[in-house]
Amino acid sequence: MAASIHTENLSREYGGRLALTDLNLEVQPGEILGFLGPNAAGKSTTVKILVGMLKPSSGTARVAGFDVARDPLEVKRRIGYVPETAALYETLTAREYLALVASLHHQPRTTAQARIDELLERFDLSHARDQRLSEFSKGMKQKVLITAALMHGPEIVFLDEPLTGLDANAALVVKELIRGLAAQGRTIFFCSHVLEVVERVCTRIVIIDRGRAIADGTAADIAARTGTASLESAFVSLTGQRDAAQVTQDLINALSR
Amino acid sequence: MAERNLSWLGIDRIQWQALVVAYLRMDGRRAGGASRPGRDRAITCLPPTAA
Repeated sequence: MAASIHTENLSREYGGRLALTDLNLEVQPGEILGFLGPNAAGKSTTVKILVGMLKPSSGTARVAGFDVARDPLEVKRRIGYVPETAALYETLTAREYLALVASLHHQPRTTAQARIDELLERFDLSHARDQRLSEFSKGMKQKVLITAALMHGPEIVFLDEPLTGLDANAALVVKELIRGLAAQGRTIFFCSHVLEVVERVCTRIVIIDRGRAIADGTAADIAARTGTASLESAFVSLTGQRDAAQVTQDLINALSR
Repeated sequence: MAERNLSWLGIDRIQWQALVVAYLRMDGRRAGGASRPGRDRAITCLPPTAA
């Protein structure tokens, strides 16, 4: 079976500084890949390259069988993307915004309207569908973004901190949705700092630090390899440059002065 | 000619029409554009268009 995502020596440089170095990654259909790393590790850079928003400095990336640098539009037709920080057209209503997204995906108007209404209802947003997005709370906007990313039935879904702003009920729906999409054979590329969620939802985890992949396996594999009891401890052991307790004490001391 | 220009932008006629309608609607509401500075970045949530 062809990989959904395949990268070979993928690298990206910003003004002489390497943000991503020789990333080799293969993700199969149906996998839920948790992509973790400390701040500025290169996660967002990787995602932006894979969704065709950023060109790699060297190396190659294929998504859904297409080279992201040569065929970015073919890639975009087959993916859904929930960015970490997104701008919405806030003077449009939720329905208008989603109808725009549907048109950009060439979905017939009647099918799209039915789908929009159904998804908004599932996300408990029916009552607000004709309200402008500027009147939406952060969590409501996040639900609209997730809906927009999934409306066209993408083969591969990139989620960058998708649970941000969602209440516990909505977060639970999204987590179940992720599992359901994977069960249909769709690939999920999941970036998050919430390790408990990643541990529970993802079938495989890749950790990157300073632009390099440093661990790849299930949460249990990674914990075992680092001799720790949980993914959180393994993450700290692999990426922590300073002892967290010491950092906390230093901060308290600094604030007390 | 128009088709060639649109192709250069990475969109087709249907996508162009959808964007024009949305922008006219937003302008009609006197605010328009994205919710933060750098309104061109808003398009990044609206695949599939040019990179």
